[in-house]
Amino acid sequence: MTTSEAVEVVPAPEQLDRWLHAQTWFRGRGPVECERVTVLREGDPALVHVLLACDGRRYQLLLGVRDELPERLVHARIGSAGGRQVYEAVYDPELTAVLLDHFEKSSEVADLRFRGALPPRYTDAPVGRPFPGLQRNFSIVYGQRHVLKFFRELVPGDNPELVLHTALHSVEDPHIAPPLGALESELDGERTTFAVLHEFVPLGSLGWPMATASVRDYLAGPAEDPQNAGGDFAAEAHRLGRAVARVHADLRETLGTQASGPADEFVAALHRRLDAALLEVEALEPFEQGLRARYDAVLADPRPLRLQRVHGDLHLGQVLRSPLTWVLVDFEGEPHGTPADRARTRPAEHDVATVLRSLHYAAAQLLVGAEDVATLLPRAARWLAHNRKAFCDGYAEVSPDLLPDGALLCAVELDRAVVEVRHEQRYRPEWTVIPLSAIAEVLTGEPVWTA
Amino acid sequence: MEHEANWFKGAVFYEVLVRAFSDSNGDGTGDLRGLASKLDYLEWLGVDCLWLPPFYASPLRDGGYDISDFRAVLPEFGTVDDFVHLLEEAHRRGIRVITDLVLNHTSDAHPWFQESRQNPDGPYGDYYVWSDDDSAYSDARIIFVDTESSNWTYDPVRGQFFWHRFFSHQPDLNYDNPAVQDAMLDVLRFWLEIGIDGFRLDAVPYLFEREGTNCENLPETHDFLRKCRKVVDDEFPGRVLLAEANQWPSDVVEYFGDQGVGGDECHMAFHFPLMPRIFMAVRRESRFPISEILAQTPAIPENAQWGIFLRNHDELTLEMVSDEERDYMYSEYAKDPRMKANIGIRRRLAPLLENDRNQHELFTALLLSLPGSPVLYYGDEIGMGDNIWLQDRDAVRTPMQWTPDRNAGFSDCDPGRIYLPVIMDPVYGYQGLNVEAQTRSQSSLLNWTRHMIEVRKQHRAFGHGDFTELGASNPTVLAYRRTLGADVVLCVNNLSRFPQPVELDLAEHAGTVPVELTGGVRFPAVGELPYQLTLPGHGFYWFQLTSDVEGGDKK
Repeated sequence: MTTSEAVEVVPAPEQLDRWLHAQTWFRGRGPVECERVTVLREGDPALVHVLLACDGRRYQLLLGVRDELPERLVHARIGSAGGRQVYEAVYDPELTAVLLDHFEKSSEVADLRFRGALPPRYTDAPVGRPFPGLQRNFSIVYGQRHVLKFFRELVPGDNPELVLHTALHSVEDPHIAPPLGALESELDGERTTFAVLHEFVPLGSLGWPMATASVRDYLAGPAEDPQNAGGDFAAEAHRLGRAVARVHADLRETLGTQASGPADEFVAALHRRLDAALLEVEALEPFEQGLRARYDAVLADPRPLRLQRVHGDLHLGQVLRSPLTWVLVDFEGEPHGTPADRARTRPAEHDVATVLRSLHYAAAQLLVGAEDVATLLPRAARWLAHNRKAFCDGYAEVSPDLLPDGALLCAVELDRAVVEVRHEQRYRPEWTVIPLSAIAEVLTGEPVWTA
Repeated sequence: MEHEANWFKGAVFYEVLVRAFSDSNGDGTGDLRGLASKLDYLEWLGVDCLWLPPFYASPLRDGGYDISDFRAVLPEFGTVDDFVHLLEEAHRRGIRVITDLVLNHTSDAHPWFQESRQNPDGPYGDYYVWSDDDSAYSDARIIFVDTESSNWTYDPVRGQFFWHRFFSHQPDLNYDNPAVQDAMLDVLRFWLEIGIDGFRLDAVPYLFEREGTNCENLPETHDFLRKCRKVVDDEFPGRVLLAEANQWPSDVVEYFGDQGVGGDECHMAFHFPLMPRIFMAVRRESRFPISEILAQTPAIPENAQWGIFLRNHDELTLEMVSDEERDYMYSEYAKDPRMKANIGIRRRLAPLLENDRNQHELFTALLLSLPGSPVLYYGDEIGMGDNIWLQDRDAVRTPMQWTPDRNAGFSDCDPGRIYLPVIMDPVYGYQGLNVEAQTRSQSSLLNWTRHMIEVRKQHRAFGHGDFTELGASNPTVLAYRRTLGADVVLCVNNLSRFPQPVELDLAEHAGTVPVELTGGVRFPAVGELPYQLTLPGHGFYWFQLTSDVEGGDKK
């Protein structure tokens, strides 16, 4: 593709810049450079893949190009090029279908390799529509059958989502959406995952609205014991614990484990994150000594830490309840983590801790800004204790070596809470009280709520 | 009756206890003539088919399921002639009638058993399953563990043990004896010739015994059911067989027979696990208990149909769902005393729902829209209560409440003579809660129920259509689509007591206009984006998705 042809399909720089800077996922400030333009379909409408660079980061776009923009696509317009209209292709079913065709044929278009293992098609091609709530990535759902997820920001190398899904699928782990293919290309000379294709998990709901529905029911009801509340979530939390443990066991089986020698390095990282948080959040100061003591308690265990690949960003918004089981999604690791962060091995307790933190958020979110915190706080604590136990019991049924009261899990949970405190302080100060109350409870025995 | 193929797929069934409905002769017990006198009410309500639990001659040690003469009516209910009268009156109103038939066993008072125990070498000697010891078929579980310690009982008269899967006063018939098979087929013919519209076949999984098996769902049992079906198809087309097989749906579908020929055993079977799952889902405010059981329910033959119910005279017990998959039920039920009570203690729908009208309506809407033919239990349409001080299952068998008059209008007998006292408590008592009062009040549960049945009948999709669950963004909302050709009905149910928003992916129906079925209100057209609805606590909507866009709002 020559530059003159690219001009025909990429909007004028000022139009593109204006659009990019309005996107929440775009973190660039400097000039935008168009690195590669690949036409995936000629004609009208045309489908174009664009690789952009800005401030050393890489982004990909899927553009549609039409002579005339129908009304239903006006909202997706980015600009114009060579007298034609350019818009986000994800909103155009005519163009999303082209992507699925490429996967079915395992096409190679210029540097882009579509690698697919799609089951034979028994009916017409399902219509591909954007998944509601476009965020860090954008997904196209094909008629409740496949999901194609594009990573907006590209980092050289295999994406953990692909690596972990492929490993888990090789042992038929039931708690993932089976992978069906990937879009790959080279980036800085390294094979890089641009998009992943999965089976769609039909009729799923995220764990977060299920857990919060349960909390709402319990807080509003007469039951003292959360297990007598109608909306009890514990049986689901228990099943979720089993699912997470199974995924961890399968990741150990397929991708192995590492024994980390002394835990010093691991503990040192906890201290470093606390150092950083203390610089920003005054409210953490009273807990510093307590936190450091809990971190150092990990060193008291002479056994080496067992490290493995984990989900890395597991919370109730990353688990999908299908009619038959729990499914873990989005194995991309920590948001905005470096490639090294994302591929790092960690103790399995990392994922356990993040789910427990998520349960705490579910229990406490209705308290933020509530009038009667004093009444609700002990009830939220009871809900949390009940569901924590159920989740850990479920996990331990599959992996008996989890120590729910062990120093390691406690330290990781506190570390996660510290990270949350810092994040909330920056972006949602009124929510800082949630992770702070968790830290206070562990260290002082009281869930101090200082709204 | 006019012969309409697959009528049962669109029918609304109504389970009525003859004893409890209406007493025509003032003896304090309901009877067939009394029931016949109330058919106008049932026609008005919209009932298509009555299901009568057994009314045969019986010593009544098991609610009439212990039959001592298959060809006679229990005298207190009337005579065979009275039954013919009931059939004629019902058919005149377009209402069909089916009844229970117990194939598996008889009462020990049945002449066949008396002959069999006294004359081992006589014509009935081999009618039952006899053995010199109690060691055979040891892999068969004991169903009534509370009262029975073995499936074998020693008979001192014959000096042998006889086999019984249920009570020891209900010996199992020996289906390996061709004479037994013929005799039971003749029983079927006897009632079908009188004009009955079908049978609910009681306890069908247990007809045969084979060593080394659990003696349930055996191939021989299915062979016999195919014979029954052949009699119906060849000699009495349009009549139905409904299997009572309290098993997991994947096992129950076997009782529909061969999918390839559209089913060649029973036309219908009860879907047992659905009922507790509905209660569990509303209690948990989560659609998954229902989604899960429906996802585990296999496809059924084209000419077959599930029977679904919220309450009936006979409760689900977990003991009868013998499958590893019941783990789910245990883990959910066992921890919650209230859920456990729902299946253990016999309660009616209204008291189970704490007389909450919103929940009552939601449950009824689910019953009338989930896949299957709904079976209403008498009295639930007016929200009747129960009497937990009565023994066991009698709690929900009290007289139908017709009027605020003496004995609730059920009987003009001396109140002391009535078979069970009418409900008299302040909430559910007959003085305030009765058919007469509710008929007059437009906002009554009775009129609401009648209206919903009417709406259901306007859309064949409910009875004959495909069922597809729609993934809803909100786990407390259960949404599904019933489709028959161009008739597309969308049902959205809020299982939570709090108002809930929901976004539905209706992209494949983009351009249609949802018209609410009870009021005809047109909702905003479906577009490409997720369709947003807000439901009140325990609220539900039924929509027809129409392509009719009149009203000038088309761009």
